Amino acid sequence: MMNLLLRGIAVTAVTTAMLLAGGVHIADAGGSITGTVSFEGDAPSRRPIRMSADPACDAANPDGRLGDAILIADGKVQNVFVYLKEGVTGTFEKPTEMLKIDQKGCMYSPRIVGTMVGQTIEITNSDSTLHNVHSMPKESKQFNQAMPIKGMKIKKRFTAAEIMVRVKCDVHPWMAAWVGVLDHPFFAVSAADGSFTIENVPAGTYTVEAWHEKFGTRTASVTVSEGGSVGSDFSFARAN
Amino acid sequence: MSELSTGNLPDRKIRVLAVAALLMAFVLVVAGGLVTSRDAGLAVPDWPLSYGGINPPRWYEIDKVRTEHGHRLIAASVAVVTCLLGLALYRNDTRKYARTLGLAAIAAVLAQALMGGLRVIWLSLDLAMVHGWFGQAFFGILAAIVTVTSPSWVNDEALEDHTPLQRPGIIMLSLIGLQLAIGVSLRHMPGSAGVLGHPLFYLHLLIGLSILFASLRLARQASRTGGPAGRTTRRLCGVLWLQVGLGIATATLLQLSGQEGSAGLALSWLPTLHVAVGAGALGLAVAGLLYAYRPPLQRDEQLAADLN
Repeated sequence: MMNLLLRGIAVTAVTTAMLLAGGVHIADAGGSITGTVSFEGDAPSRRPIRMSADPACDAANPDGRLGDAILIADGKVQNVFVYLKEGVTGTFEKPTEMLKIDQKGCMYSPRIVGTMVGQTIEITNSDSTLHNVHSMPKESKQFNQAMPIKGMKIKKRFTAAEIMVRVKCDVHPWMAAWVGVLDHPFFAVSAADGSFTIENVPAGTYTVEAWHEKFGTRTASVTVSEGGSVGSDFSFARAN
Repeated sequence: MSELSTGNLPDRKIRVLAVAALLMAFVLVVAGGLVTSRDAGLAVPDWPLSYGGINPPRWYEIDKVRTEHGHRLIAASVAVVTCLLGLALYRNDTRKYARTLGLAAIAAVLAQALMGGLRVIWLSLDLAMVHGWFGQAFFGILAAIVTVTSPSWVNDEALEDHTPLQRPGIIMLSLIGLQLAIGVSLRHMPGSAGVLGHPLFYLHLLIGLSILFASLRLARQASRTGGPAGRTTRRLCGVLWLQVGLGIATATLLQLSGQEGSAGLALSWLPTLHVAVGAGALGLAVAGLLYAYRPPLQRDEQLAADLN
């Protein structure tokens, strides 16, 4: 019993020492960064996608489909990738759970995602047609994988941090996804109401960047206190 | 080259095979051009199989897969016919240069297939460019085979001197080869509208003008020359003027599409036609040059009988 207690104390002491020394971080404490992404001016209209290049895609979308590169509702912007660009120190364990991307209705879902370096990404084909998944990173090795069968799944990883990696289907040119690859877990994607929250951020001062595939980037500086929540809103407008 | 002997008229089957290979290769150049125009090269991501099979499911219904996989099927047919042609020449033709051309065609078609496959597997744009240029060179080899296996190669219709066509013919062939290489590079640049501002485009324009002026001189000399050399060179000049017109139309279309969005079907076919006519010009330039270097033939009765 005493041995067990001593062993427990030793493990706790070593773990604490590692964390204090800036070793492996477990992102389960700290403050949070919350905000909203807005759009100034009239939102660009969404254009219908012509899916006649593949009858199966047409059939999967009998009512048609609008492009999802720009999603703005009530002045709030969805699908903005928000992440800590500068100020993060230490190394972080990659999550054990897989990031999932689906190909459904000849569209990627979700379109904008974040992953950690080395984290497994599971890509599924839920369509009754063939797709190829073609990633175009500059820092990691590209892949172009055939997915001809409905229900097929493949697993991939990116080996280096990069903002952002484009993923496309060469068969269906309207299909695009963007993956933010980071060596830390402090990122979020804005929801339909433009809101985002980056949780468990260690106390410190950071540069936060908001990235949108059409509108570019915006940055802000924030200081996070232990257990506190700090606000950081972003605003985009039409490019001149 | 001056030691070329025309030899006997090759077997009719070989001549038919040679013409078939050339025509099929022309279709292949068009199919390859469409792959580039439609950006379909990576729509079938594996090789030598397509989506793990001989034919991907519903490949003929899906635009980009039909374009790329169709290109592969045509290429496979061309490879088979070319190999048959090369072997037939090697086994049956007594002329060393004809046998060499046959073997060169086999090597070229196999290398071309390998390059096309590796371009897909390695996701290499550089290899795609080499593949595009080498396709034109392969077409030139087949044009040479058709020339040296044709009746007019062994039937000396004109006994006059072809020497005035030799030097301008070499210059023209070099210019066309260079122009095709630059054209292929331009075609593989990402973003078609940006091509027009690229330094390579201005070089393409400059060489195009050089070809136009050189063709005027060549046409004047060809008009004074009879026989297949003069005839082929005159045809070449006609094709070159057509090609200049297509080039201007293609550049105009790219300019307009950059301003107003996609020009759709025309943007696929017009640049492809420009590529295909370029291949035709290369083939005629090869044929014209070979005829220009062909020595006068001593007529013999047997040969005349063969031709009749």
